[in-house]
Amino acid sequence: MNRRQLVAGLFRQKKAALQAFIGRRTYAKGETADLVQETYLRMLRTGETAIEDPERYLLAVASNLIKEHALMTQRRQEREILTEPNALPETAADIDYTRDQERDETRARLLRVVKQLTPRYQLVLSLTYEDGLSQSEIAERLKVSRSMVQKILVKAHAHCRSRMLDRKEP
Amino acid sequence: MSAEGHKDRAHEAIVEQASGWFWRHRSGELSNLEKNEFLEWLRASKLNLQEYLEQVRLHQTLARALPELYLDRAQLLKKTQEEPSSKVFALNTATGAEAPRAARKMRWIAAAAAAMLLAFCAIWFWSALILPQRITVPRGEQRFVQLADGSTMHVNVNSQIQVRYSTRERVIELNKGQAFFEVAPDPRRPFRVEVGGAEVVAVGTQFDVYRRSDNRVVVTVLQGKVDVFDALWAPKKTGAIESAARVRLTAGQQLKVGSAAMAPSPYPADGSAVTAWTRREVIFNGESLVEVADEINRYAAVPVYIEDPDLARMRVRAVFNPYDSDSFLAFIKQYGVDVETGPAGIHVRRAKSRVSEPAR
Repeated sequence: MNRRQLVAGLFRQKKAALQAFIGRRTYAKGETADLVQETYLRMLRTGETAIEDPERYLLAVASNLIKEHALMTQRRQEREILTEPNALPETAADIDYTRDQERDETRARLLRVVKQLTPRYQLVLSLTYEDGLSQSEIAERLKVSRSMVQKILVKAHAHCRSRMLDRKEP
Repeated sequence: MSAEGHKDRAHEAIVEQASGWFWRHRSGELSNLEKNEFLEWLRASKLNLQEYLEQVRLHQTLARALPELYLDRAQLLKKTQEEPSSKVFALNTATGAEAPRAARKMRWIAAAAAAMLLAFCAIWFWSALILPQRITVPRGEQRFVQLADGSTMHVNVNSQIQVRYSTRERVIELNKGQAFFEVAPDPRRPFRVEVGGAEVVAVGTQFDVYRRSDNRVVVTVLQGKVDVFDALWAPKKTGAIESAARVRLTAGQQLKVGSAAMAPSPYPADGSAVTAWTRREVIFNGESLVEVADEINRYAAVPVYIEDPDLARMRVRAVFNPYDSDSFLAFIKQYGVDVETGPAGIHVRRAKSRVSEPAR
C-alpha cells in the first residue's frame, strides 16, 4: 500500500460544500468565537424556512463568513499600508507566521492523540483519510458491518476532539 | 470541581452528538426527517453548532496530517484481528490504564441496561405526571415544548417556566418571560398558568401570556376562553358569598394585569401580531420607537438605546425579525440619526450634523 500517495480520492464521496469549507484558510483562535456566533445567528435567522440540505447550508454560511473576514482583513492591511508605510511587514515570511505555527502545533498534538488509539481505530482512520474509502468500503474490507465502521468513526472523532479540548485547559 | 466535571461531561456529550451527525452525513443521504432533526439540533444551541464546525475542522486536519504518521497498516490489521471483540470500543490512553477500565465500564453498563430501561420507563411515566419540570430558555433562543397531556408550549426568549402536572390539575408557573399555549382539552384537569399573583385558567384554547420585565402581565386569547384572576383584585360579592374577582377573555381579546386594585376590562387585540414571535417576527403597529427598541432588546445580544426624546416618541409601523438587529438599525438610520457602538450597547442619537435634513 502506497501511503505517500496524496489522497486524491479522499473527498470524492463528499459534497462540494464541505470542500469549499475545507479549502479556506483556517481561522485564528480568537476569531473562532466570532465565526460561530455569526454563523449561529444566521442559522436562526432562516426562521421556519425549510432548508433543503442543512449541512450544506451551514458550511456555505461558515465559509462565506471566513471569506468575507479574509477579504476585510486584507483590505484593512492594504489601507494601513497605503496610509502608514511603516505598517509594511519586514519580510514576506512575517505574514501569517503565527497562524501557521498555531496550526502546526494543533496538528502535532492531534497526531499524538491518534497514536494512542487502539489499532482498530487507527486502521479505520487510515483507510478513511489515506485511501479515501467510504464507510461501506471499509466495512467490506474489514468484514464488519457498516454501522460498526460508523460507530468507530464517531467515537474516534469524538475522542480526538475531547482530548484536544483537555489539552487546551490543563 | 464537581460542577466543572459535570460541565465537561455535558460538553463531551455534545462532542459525541456532533461527531454522530457528522458521520451520518457521510454515510449516504439523510432522510428529510433526519435533516430537520439535524437543523433543530444545530439551532438548539450555539455550542452544538460550534462543535459541528469543529468536527469539520478536525476532518480537514486529519485529512492533511494523517498521512504524516506513516501508519503500518499490515501491523494494525494483524493487531486488530488479535483484539478481543469486547475491546472494540475501548480506547487506549498513553498509560494504557484507561482501557481495562473502559471495558469494565462497558460490561457494567450492559448488565445494568435492562434494569435501567425498566426504571427509566417507570420514572418517565411518573415524572410526566408528577415531577415538576423546569424550563429555562436563555436570551436569543426559543423553545417548543410538548407537554405530557398533548398540550404544547412555545416559550420565548429569556423565560423561565415550571410545569407541575398532577392527576387533578395542570399548572404552569411562568416566573419570567413569555409563552404561547395550545391547550389539549381535559375537563377533569383544568389548565392553569400562575404568573406572579395572577392566574389564567383555560379549558381547550390558545393563548399567550407575557410577564414583562416590569412584572406587568399581558394575556392574549387567540381561541376559546380563559379566566384571569389576580390576588390584588377586590373580591366580588354575590349575596353573602364572597368570590374572587375574575375577568373572562374570549378569542381576540387582551388584558393587561398590573398593580390595579380593580379588575381591568379586556380590549380587542390582534392575536396574530402578539404571537408573531413564534414565527420569529415582531410586528409594530404604531408603538413608539422606545417601545420598539425595548422589544428588540429582548432578543438582541447587543442592546440598542434610543437617547433622543423626540426620536423615542416617534411612532413605528413595521415588521422585524427580532434576531436581526441590523435590520432594525438600518430602519432607524433612515431618519438621519447617529448610531454609535459603545461598550454597553448601541446608542442612537439625533445626528449632530443635519446633513440628511432636506435642503430648504
